[in-house]
Amino acid sequence: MQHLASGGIHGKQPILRAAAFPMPLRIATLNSSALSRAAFLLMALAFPLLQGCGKPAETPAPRDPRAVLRSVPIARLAVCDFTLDVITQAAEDQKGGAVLQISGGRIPEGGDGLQILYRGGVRVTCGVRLEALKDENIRVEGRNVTVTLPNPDLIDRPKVLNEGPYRSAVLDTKNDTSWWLFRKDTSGLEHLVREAYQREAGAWITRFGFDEVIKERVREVLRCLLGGDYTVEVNFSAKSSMPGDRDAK
Amino acid sequence: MSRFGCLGVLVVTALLAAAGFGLRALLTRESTTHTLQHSTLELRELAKVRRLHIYRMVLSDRVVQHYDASGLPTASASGRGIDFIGVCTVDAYVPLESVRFVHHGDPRMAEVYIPEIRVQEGNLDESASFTWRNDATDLLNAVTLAADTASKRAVALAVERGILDEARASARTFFESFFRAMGYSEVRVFFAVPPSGSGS
Repeated sequence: MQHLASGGIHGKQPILRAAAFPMPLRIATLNSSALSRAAFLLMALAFPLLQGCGKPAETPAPRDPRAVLRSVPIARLAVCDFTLDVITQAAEDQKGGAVLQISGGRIPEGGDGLQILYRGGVRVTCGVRLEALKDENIRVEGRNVTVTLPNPDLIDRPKVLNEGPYRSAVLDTKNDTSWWLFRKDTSGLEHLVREAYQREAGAWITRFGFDEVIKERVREVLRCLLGGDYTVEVNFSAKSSMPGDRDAK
Repeated sequence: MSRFGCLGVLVVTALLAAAGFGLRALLTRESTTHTLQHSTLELRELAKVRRLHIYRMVLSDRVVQHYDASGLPTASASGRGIDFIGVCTVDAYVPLESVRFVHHGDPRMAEVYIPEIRVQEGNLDESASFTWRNDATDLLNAVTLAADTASKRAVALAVERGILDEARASARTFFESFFRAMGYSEVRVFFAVPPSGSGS
């Protein structure tokens, strides 16, 4: 030890002179025993494997639900396409429009007006515009979060499909007693039916339960995003307080 | 110890340390295939849903059935009968307990493996269904049988109309959006190949 103090400090002697050290210090030198070298090498191997073990589990603080919903791209999660393969009974009404059986219209019975059995396909895209979600739509009370959203609605204009399995066609006619050579032209009524599809598809969202599928999905998504920290309640209201919703219509 | 001996020990130490890091990476890689239940908080919550209702299709089926003089169904196109339009809804869903996801060390990239899409039995929408022509003797029985036929054929018709492709497209959009919302910038979605002839 004296040698270390006199030589090491003044720098005139080699600092690591193992022979001069007591046994514990020898392990730290490169001139050590085979055992200590093996231990050193094993430690080198074990260090990366054991790194990170035994860290205490961290309990994160609950996240601000408004910040969470603002920060994640959730707009597409509440939107879905639906396809309708529609066979409908259609007749021309007195106002020059088409009345469709599938929309709950009353087809005149026993009248002499032309009726067609028409097949067509319609694709509707509906959902909730979550990208317009505002802080005022989210109410936080302790560990309870209430999100108020407008009812699902059409996101885009319905598309009348006319290809593949959805090729539109008149399957049959009624009240056309004229000879086949003088059959009434149905193209005008067909056109009215396609217009009615576009006009009435918004009501089909509720009629065929597409809105319930969307609501279920939105509830699940919001519960997944916030459910670890909060009890989530999602309400849908007919009146929208979300900007941009009126534009969609 | 000689200078070469010291150098050797250092080199071996470095090699062993590298091997240790490599081994750790390998072990970590093997444990990166997860079910949703064994993942982040959000995905665990999603797994609780069990079934993700992914698609709904509305189908119309025309059922034409003739009856003979004794009131029994016949294949002959003559005689009395019913021309019924049955409107059904058919739903498709993803069984979430079988969804797996993998990330290969890159925390921004995820691969999602979705099992075969399931199709539920069709539900006849009575209020939307109607008879186009009906001169069957037993009107009620004819309508009931035609409605039953339309319900039973709904799933096959939905598969023919492409419900599985539509449902896959919807599932892809959903999972890509969901994992992006979780912070993954690159999400790849894979589907199990359905067994041939299987539609439900």
